[in-house]
Amino acid sequence: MTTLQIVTKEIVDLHDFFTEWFNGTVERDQLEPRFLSRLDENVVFIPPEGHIMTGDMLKGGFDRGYGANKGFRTQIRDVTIRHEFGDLVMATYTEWQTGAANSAEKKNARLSSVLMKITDPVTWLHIQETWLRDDLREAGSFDF
Amino acid sequence: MTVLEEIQAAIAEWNTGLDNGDIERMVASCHPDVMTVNERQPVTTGTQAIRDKYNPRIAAAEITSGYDIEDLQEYGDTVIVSGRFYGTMKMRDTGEVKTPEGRLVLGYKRDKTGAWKMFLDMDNNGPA
Repeated sequence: MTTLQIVTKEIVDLHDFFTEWFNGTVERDQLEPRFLSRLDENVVFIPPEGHIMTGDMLKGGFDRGYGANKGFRTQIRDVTIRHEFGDLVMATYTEWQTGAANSAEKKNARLSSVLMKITDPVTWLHIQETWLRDDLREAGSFDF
Repeated sequence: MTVLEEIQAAIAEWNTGLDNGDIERMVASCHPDVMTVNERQPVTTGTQAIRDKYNPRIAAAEITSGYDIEDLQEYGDTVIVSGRFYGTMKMRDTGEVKTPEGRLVLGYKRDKTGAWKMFLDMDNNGPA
């Protein structure tokens, strides 16, 4: 597989898991092997609202959110590798959400950057999301 | 100097350039393929995009800028810092003073000379 294929599969698989998790359609004991184990111990996650979240904060949020949003759906598009430094990859992608109960906009689209280490499995080091341009969001499809 | 101090110095280079209207000083602190991702704006890549984005701002306002690092992740010659940007823009035509602030993540990579160059500038607006 190419680096782009590895990164794309990793991002899509993880977000598919998020959908299953918040829908409550995956076993609860899958949080560690399918998500938390992929995070570096010093991982930083920043959602569009701009808060800095640690791995422990993410775990707490996911524990509380299990099965809490049956209508949540997400789709990943536009995965692009921006930089490769040795085994580090900086990529961007857009994430499209519907039924996002915890967001001001139930249908929303965000642009994300991720710094990953290409290990087996991939290690997530830093993730940041910011709101996508309004015109791109309005032109995109939420039919998924 | 520690890596934190080196990154602070690299950021100060950018801010000093911005505050003094010296676009080439800003560009000199960047990786050739620097990527900027500002909230609700297009992704840009490359140093010419830095000139295209900031020259109009420099022409339009007297700028002061600051950045406080809240978290630093170091992976060899690659560093990611998460922090807050803040500053003022006094508009030259109206005298209005704007006070932009928000979350800003910066990525730095050492070049062949050992200098830190910014390869990522991504922000979230607002007070978070």
